[in-house]
Amino acid sequence: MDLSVLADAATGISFTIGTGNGGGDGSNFGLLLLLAGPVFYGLMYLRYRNSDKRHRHESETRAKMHDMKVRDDRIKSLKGVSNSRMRGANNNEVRGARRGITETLGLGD
Amino acid sequence: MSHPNPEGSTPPEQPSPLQPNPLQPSPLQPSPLQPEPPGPRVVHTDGDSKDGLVKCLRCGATEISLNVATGQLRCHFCRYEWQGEVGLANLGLDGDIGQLSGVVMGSGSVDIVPSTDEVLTFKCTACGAEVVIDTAHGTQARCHWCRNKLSMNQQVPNGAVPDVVLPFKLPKDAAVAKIREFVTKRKFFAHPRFTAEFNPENVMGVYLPYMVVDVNAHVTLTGQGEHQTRSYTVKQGDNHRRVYDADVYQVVRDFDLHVDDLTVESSSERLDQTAANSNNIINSIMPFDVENSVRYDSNYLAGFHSERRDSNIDQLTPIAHTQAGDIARHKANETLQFYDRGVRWDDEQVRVNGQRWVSAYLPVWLYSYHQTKSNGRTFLHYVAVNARTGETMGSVPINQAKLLGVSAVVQVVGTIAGIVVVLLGG
Ligand SMILES: [Zn+2]
Ligand SMILES: [Zn+2]
Repeated sequence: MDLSVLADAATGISFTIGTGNGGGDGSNFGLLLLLAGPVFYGLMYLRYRNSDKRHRHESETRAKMHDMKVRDDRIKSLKGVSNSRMRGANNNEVRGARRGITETLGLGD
Repeated sequence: MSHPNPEGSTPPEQPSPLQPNPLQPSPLQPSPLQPEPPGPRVVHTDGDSKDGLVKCLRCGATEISLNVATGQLRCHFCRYEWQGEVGLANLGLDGDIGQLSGVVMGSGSVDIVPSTDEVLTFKCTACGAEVVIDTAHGTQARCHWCRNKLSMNQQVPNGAVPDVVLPFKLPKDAAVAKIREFVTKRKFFAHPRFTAEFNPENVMGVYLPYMVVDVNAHVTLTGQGEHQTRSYTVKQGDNHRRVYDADVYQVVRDFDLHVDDLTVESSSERLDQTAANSNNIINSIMPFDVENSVRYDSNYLAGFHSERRDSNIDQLTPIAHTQAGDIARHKANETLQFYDRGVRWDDEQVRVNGQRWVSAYLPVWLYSYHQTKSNGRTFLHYVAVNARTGETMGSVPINQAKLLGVSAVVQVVGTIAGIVVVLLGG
């Protein structure tokens, strides 16, 4: 078997673990290993079919901002919240991509 | 080359008597008594274009095509080469985006009139015979009598002649090498039939239709952002749990946004990006250096294929404006680094004050492969190469049995490793 495929799979799986919702402790790592088959399948599917690829119009289009006016007023403080990211944050959202997630994973057909 | 005064060469007829003279700069302050916004301003891009024989400036032959190596048009007989007219700037379609107001469009971007003939008849200016050009397949045809080549460069409202064309720059052999490299890297799980039939020499040079849009918008984003002030662990029973303190801010970003050369497909076939096709592959090789486009000349298409535009500005406006909104949100992030936990916009106003639409043919090397699946259904795979930048993307048919088999082996290995980790970790 082709070694580069295994290497790809290994980086892919460790990437998935690294960005997973886990706290990084041993039990989560073990549980993810239990999903190694589907994770491997998904990564290889995308590598060959590239159904997740699209033009990144939001960052690849030339654009300039002018006359910027800003307001940043502190309104309150949060103590001891458990999520590391803001709930409902949408400043990275992309709405003009024309393929949904089912299409990306080839589940539509 | 010999157009000292391009403005003087615009034909007198206007598409509609109601339209303002496109040669007059739009008044800076519209009369307050004028409640209606002015209609679209059409900039004529085929002003002195001629249908019929386009002759070599030196020997008069009509066998002219693009020399990909130099980007110039070349006469097949005397080898004389010349540069096409630069596009957007000379056509008055490349001005300051901040000054844009209302809708400005190239005359090659106007709405397609459904009844417009696809097949047009021209009189050969060399021998007087009638020559038919089927615009579904190109804008050139050969006179059967005198063998001269006739070109169609004037725009008729059927989407066949765009405002500008971006000539091929990457030669075919370079595209073939890129496609071969892309596919060779994906051999192990490739379908054996695909591997056996793979022949990148069959790649096709295609000019695909796009709309290139400049947008002058005013953006106001209102919401809340969070900045982390502390990260620490708390003890909860036997476990330690990580928690965070954060400051919450009311955030407003109000700015003018100038979007330059936003590019969207303008054929309904390429706009259709679903699981049933791999059009997303062609989408992903954008962007193109559209600013180097030249004024449309059929001779750039000689030897290449082309697809005709069949979508109008009205149909493409929602996509373009949604994407402009994405660009606004993305650009605003440059001013939001302080909010390391993110920003939630509750209200997003993107007011488009001005927009400029130009239709363009952009060059793509396209390798296509028709896969017939075991259930009898077919799927069209593409490997596409941007013929300006060389960016390559593709879809390779998968040997499902092999991939499932190897995935199963990976699962077994993963399960054993997982059990070991869980036992040791627990
Ligand atoms: Zn010549
Ligand atoms: Zn003739």
